[in-house]
Amino acid sequence: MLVFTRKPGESLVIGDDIRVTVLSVDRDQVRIGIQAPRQVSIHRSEVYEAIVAQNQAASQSALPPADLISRLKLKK
Amino acid sequence: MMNQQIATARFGEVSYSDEDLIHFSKGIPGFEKLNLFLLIGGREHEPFKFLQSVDFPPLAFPLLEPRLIVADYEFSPSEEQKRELELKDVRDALVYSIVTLSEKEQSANLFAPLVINPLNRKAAQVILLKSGYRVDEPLPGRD
Repeated sequence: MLVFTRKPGESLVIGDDIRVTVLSVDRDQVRIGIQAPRQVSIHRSEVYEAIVAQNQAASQSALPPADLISRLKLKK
Repeated sequence: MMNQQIATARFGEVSYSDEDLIHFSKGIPGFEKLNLFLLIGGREHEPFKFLQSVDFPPLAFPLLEPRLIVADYEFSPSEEQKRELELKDVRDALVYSIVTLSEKEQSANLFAPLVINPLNRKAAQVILLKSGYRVDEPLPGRD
């Protein structure tokens, strides 16, 4: 990991077209602004990681059991 | 179109042609390098379908239509999410939830559905940030 120290108002530039700016610092929180092309998705890491973890669990899934299939067919 | 085959862990030999391929240009979270998938499903597993990896045949995800789990499921992607799939009308999209089936869990990811644009076969896992849905919505349980 590349580590920088920035003061409020200072920025980092990533690649050609992503800018990360420290907006303000308040005790134990940092407000961060990011300018990036709209096709670059940006998420809080815990959101992305929750989806990664769920996908990994899902990839290990067993085949659907018969009783579950029956319950779901009743819903249709 | 040449017919190609993959040997899958769960479904044996699966034949397909290029028009069957579904393209995830960014892969899916946790599997970002896998871009080509097939949507398969036999009658014996209905209403389940499966997203079968072509790049890595041991990998497949069970899928369910979200409305089977939440009757009034709302799929409201952002303009950028629609743009990524070249989706002109949300009603054209095929929307599926990835399902987790294990001894201790039977759940569906309603928060980040898989969305396929059938007109161009582009697909993505779309994160519905403001929806309030869960990544692990329990499936109908035994009473």
